[in-house]
Amino acid sequence: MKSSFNSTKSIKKLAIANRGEIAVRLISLCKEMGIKPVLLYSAADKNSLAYRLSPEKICIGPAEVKQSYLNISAVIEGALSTGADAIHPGYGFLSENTEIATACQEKGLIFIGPPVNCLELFGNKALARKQAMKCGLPVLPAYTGKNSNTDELLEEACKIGFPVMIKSTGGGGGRGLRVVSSEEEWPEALASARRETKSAFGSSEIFIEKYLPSARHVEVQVFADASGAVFHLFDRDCSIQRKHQKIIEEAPSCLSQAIKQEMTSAAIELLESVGYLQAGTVEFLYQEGKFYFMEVNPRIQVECPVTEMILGIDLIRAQILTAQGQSPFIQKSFTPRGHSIQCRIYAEDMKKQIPLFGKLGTCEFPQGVNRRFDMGYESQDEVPGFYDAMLGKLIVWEENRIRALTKMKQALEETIIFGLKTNINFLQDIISHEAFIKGEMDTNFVEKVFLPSWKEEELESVDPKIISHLRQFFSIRQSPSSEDLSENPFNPWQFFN
Amino acid sequence: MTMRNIEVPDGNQFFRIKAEEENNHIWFHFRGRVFVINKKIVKKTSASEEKPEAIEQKSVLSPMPGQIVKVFITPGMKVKENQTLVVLSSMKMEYTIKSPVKAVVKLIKVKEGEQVTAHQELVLFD
Repeated sequence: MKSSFNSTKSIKKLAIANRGEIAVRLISLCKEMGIKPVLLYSAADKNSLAYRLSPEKICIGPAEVKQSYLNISAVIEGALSTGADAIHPGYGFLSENTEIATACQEKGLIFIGPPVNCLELFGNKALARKQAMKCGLPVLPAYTGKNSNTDELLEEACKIGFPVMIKSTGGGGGRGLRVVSSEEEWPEALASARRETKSAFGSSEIFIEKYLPSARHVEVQVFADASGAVFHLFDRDCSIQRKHQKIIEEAPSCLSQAIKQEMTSAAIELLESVGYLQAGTVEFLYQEGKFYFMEVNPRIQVECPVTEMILGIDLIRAQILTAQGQSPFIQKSFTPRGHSIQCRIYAEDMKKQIPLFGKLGTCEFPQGVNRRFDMGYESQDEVPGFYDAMLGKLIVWEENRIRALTKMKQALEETIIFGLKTNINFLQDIISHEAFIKGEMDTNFVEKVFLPSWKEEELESVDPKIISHLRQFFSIRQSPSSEDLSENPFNPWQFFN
Repeated sequence: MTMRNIEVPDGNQFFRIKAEEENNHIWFHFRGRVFVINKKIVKKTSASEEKPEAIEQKSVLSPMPGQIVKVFITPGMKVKENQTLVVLSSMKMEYTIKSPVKAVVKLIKVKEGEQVTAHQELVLFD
């Protein structure tokens, strides 16, 4: 199983098949490690922050993801033509794609990720579930059969018992998921899940699983080094989600030591059973003292920084070292310290619930002790309308959870993003919410508890004299001859008239 | 577009505010929050911000670039407020576009499978 792993090859040039903050991070890490980075970018990302930072880059296609970031032959061609010896796929896009991993193997490129057989297995959620069952991991009741008839599938859903969740077999990133709470909702939910699944993953294959309405999302970070040793790097809680997308993540989770131990052993056992290599995450749902296997993400994740913060490690450096056959970490055993929280910052209109694109104004990400901004954009950058609108992530560390929350609150207050509305107000209000502070949250907290009573702080809360002062300040600067100057008490010209 | 540090007098003190103008808007950061206002005073009834949709209730625009995956209406159809008109797929997530008003559908300007840009007209009302 480990034949795909070439332990003698050292990476001199690394092709980065991604964009945004993860590309920025990879470029900087490459420079740090003495590796030459090559950015594989789409036409929409010309002049992006990653583009400006990378000494070498090559355009792999137009803006549409299918023709660039998801275009396997263009990515491989780009890496080969620039003389790269490895490809890092980041997260999303091709990170879990079996075909690109196979193509890399054929072309003599190192794919920084797990072996093809692991990608194959975990890329299929139904197969992954079967493997987990084989290893004795607890799973939720489900239907993973081949039946695709709407009525017969409904029968299966009834057998499991509503609410159920329709999941995409090739899924990931919260796409194609539908919670169905009654028979009446079934036909439209199934159709829409299939459409989304088809457009996201190219296949409309789905399966049905029992849905837990008040579960926590807890996951275990696992790492398998070049010697084949599989170990865990503790757990994270990612229960703060909206539309099945994680927004706030933290490490460690607040589960009891006993449960954590069970969970981490189960995660290791599962990955050992398939000859895993590299970084991976085993995701679980936890409800009322019990945990259930959900899926494995065979790649680096957006939320890996919270683990890095409590352990003082760099998971992506560890991946690159492992790909070169070296040991990933210096420390031999890991002791988590303190608490870390990450907030994902999006360009988003929270009222209309839509992502926003366009040009950013001035941005300020003030540094501080144990405060880390992993950003994909800078002031005046264009956020292209073809991709995820995540601008970056803010990560903090403190000695305990309450202090980490306070630090996050302060860091968010000092963060300035002009030009496009963001979800920062929303993040600020979640981390100040009583239930969240107490750690009492589940995957439905945002949609069922928080949002219904949430009101974004409005302009009305700002002293009107501040607003009129600002209007006057800018109207003087812009147009000294404009008509409203006559009633402007700040008008420097009024004394001359 | 440069950020300015502005002092707004408040009794014997000053509020120190970072602000920047961009086209017709002023963005400012105050007490840990970012706000945006129109440069000129817009006459409006109440709490809501400026309403670009309200001006043009004769049509529904795409909020973002994407692909039309499903059209739920036909010309001549009467639609209620909040009734689903079309489903747009953007960045692989589906967004349901609902009618902002009670109206009669005059023309559907897009087909299933069609790529649309942000602010493109999707549906016209009578």
